[in-house]
Amino acid sequence: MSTATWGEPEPHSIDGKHPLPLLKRLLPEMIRQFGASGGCIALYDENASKMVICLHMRLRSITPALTGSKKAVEELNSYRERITIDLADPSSSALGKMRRLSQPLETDPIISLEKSALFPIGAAFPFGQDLIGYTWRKNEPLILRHDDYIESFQPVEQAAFPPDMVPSWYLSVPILGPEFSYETYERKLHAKVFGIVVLYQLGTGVGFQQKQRIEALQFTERIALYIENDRLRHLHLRTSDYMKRLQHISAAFPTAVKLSNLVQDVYQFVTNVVDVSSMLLTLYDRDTEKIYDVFAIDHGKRNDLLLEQPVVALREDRRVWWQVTQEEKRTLLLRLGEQEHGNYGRYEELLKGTWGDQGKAEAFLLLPMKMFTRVVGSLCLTSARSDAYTPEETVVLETMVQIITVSIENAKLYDRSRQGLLKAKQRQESLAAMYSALQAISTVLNVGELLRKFVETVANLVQAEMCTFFQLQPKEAELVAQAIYDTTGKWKAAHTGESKDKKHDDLIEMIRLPFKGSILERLVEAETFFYLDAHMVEELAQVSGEGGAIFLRETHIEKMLMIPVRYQMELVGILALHTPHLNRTFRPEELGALLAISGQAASAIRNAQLFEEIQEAYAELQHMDKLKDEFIVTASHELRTPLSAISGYSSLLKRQSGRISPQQILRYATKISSATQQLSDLVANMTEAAKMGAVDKKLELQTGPVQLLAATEAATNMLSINIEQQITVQIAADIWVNCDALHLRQVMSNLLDNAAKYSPPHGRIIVTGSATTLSQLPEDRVDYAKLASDDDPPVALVRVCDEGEGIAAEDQQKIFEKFVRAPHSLMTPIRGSGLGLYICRRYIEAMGGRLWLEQSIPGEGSVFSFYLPRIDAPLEMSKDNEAE
Amino acid sequence: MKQNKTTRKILVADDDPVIRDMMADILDFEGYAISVARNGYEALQLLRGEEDFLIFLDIMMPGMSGKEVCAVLAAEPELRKRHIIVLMSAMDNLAEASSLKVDAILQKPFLVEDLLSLLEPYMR
Repeated sequence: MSTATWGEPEPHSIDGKHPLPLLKRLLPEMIRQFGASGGCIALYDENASKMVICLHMRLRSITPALTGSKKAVEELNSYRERITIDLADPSSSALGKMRRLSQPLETDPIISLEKSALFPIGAAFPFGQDLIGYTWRKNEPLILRHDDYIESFQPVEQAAFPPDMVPSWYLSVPILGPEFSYETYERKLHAKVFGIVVLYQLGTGVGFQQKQRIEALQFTERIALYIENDRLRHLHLRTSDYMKRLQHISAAFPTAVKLSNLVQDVYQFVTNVVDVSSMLLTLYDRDTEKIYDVFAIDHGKRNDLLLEQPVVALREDRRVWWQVTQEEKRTLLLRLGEQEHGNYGRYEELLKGTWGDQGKAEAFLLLPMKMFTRVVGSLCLTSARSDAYTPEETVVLETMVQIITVSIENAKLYDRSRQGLLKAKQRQESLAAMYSALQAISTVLNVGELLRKFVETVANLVQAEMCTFFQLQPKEAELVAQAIYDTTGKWKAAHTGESKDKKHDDLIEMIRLPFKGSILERLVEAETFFYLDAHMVEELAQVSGEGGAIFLRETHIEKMLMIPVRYQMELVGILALHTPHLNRTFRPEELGALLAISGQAASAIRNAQLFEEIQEAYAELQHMDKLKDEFIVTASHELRTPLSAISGYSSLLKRQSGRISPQQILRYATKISSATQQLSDLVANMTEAAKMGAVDKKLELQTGPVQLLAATEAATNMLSINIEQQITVQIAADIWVNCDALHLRQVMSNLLDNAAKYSPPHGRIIVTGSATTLSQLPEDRVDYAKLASDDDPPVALVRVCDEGEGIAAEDQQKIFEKFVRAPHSLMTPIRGSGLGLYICRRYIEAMGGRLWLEQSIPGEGSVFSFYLPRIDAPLEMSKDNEAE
Repeated sequence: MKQNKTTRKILVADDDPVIRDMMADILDFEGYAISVARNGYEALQLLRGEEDFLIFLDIMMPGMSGKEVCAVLAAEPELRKRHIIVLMSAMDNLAEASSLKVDAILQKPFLVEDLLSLLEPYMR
């Protein structure tokens, strides 16, 4: 039946529709009962709507060709055996009576004819045609002579009648279906007549009697009952077989369905129920909106490629399939053989494709796989037989398809929920990873370490190849890279030769992107995140400094994800991620995680910054506290000297008042006054330093043109009373500076005082002054902000050189801090409050200059330098000065 | 001007010229023979000379400090025996000062009266 070579269809347990064995038992009985020589039975063929002869039997004695043949003997034996077993059934009493009646005639056995010119097996008769068709129409028994038969029907086969085989009489009887059957109204019309029995007599027999018409009808009624019984039995067998198979196929689907197993079961089922030459299983996935051909058999040959790689199609590619399955949603049966060739054109799409060309098939059946109102796929079958798909089998197939549809959908649901669970688990894991990352970040209070962890964590979380954190500078002018995580080595490659981490860190801070007024500021305001494309990157690179431009151009950015990191409403920085190799965008769930972690990181960063500020402030406080202690020690020591002097000399004056000469009185009084001056200077310095207090407190200045030489001389004169060293001043009179005169004098006297303090007696102190411009100064001393804003302004450079003990290298920066003196000075106290250089530097910087230690060689001396903005000498002022 | 009460001379060792000069002036008026030193080296040089001294030794001085002078003297008992040492120390060095083997400690700043009364027993 099936032409399939793939799979292993089970052997059929239900045989053909005709209950031949039964008829083979009944027909001989009838032949004997009515004294006929032979007879045939034609049964109604539903598909052809014709009566088709299925059995022809006659007495062996008149079948010389077959006499003694082995086959006939076998046939006889089997016939006897069956008749003994089956018809001895006592419940069937009428049949039993007939058997007894016919027994005497058994000496001449009746055999079945496979080939016969008369009433050949397979001959079909439409309604009303020939004797059989006529009996069908008349619907009553008919007896007639051969001559009448020839005359009435003029059978085509007349010429073929062998001379010794021409019947003389015919008895034609319809087999009428019982009143209580049948199913459909339509069928009732024709199916009332199950078939026709034609008995005939050869030679010069007595002929059939008219009364035998009634007997014959009674007999065929019995035949009908048997047929009906058999049909019902078969129907029942078939139904229970289908039920079993359906049960089997539904049991064949465990929760996790394997497609290859599924289609094997389906194919097996289908081939067992109907005739199949080709089969195609197509599934439609709602999620991807794609149509998949997952299994195809083309004339028994399986398309093996499909299981590995299903054919994928879009809705547009399968318009007809879409129309039939998704809109009409019905089973489609095409009898291609009945159509004019090419008439199936509308359905051509269904007949060609993955399963080859099915255009030559006789029948095509499409079964939609319905899940409620949705159609999730289709099963298509073709057969070379036009009657392959009968309504009963179609119903069975529909049921089967329903079962597998539910199974597939269940499996899908199961799979989906399993995937959902898996996803949820993954999500949970990534959340846990994120949480622990956040924890790690949140517990870090060192900003640098925190940012390094932050970029590393984030990069790992979303598999970014590069991740950089840019921090917004206080004035929002720039974004400065603080941490970079680079798996590509591109950033390092852009700076070859720099391998030390510290250097690397310094280099990272060179990556600066403009913010205020740049494309970034606009995007940050408008978006929660955005991508920089190559065009924007180039735009940004053109307005960036060197480091920023190198970063933007050398690390191959085509899509860089930028996430503004905000603490509350305030922008802390930007997190930049990109994948130089893959150039991919990030998935929504990745973005979600990134935004969440950025939000958390912002507060962690802010916390760390605050903590660091507090730490710094605390360290500063501790430092200040320590310095203050030292200051108090130093200051009390410093105060003690002039106090001792004042106390000592006044006591001396008092004790020896009578004996002291006026010259001595003058000398002592001078000493007292000098000590008082020293004391008062000390107090002034302390007050000044205390006033400066916090580093960023603005100084009150009264700036104006000051002649550098005059200010220096004033300081020198004040000081030289008390010191033993020689001070040389080399400053041109025409150098004028714009500054606060009082403060300049203080700075000068402080520097000179220091020089004197640390120099041996009679050492030389040289003060030089020169007119120059800012760009001429040593590079590391220049205030670049000033240089940039002003076009190389004129400055006055002052240098104070001494021949003192010098300052140890490690102390050279510290000496400018508040309260700090060269540390050994605590062991070797020298006058001075330790506030001098600090105050000097603050004054000079407030006046737009810089002060620094130019050089210091232990044992040879130090050079302190400062510059101030230089101006032209004011005319009146220089005149006034000359007049003084 | 008073006559020297003993043959013992007074040595003032202090780096601060103001203090040094003041003490010299005061003691000179009291009739003592005075020598001065600006640091520990100068002081030691004088102590190693012929004369016996009562030395006012400042504990803190650049170069060689008073403390270091004490250490040298402790190692040379013969030298130490000849001189009377009065260590001058500010309040913050008192603990250190009292750990050194000296004859007296004069706390800075001092009153002239205290200086003289401290001096008297040794110079009588």
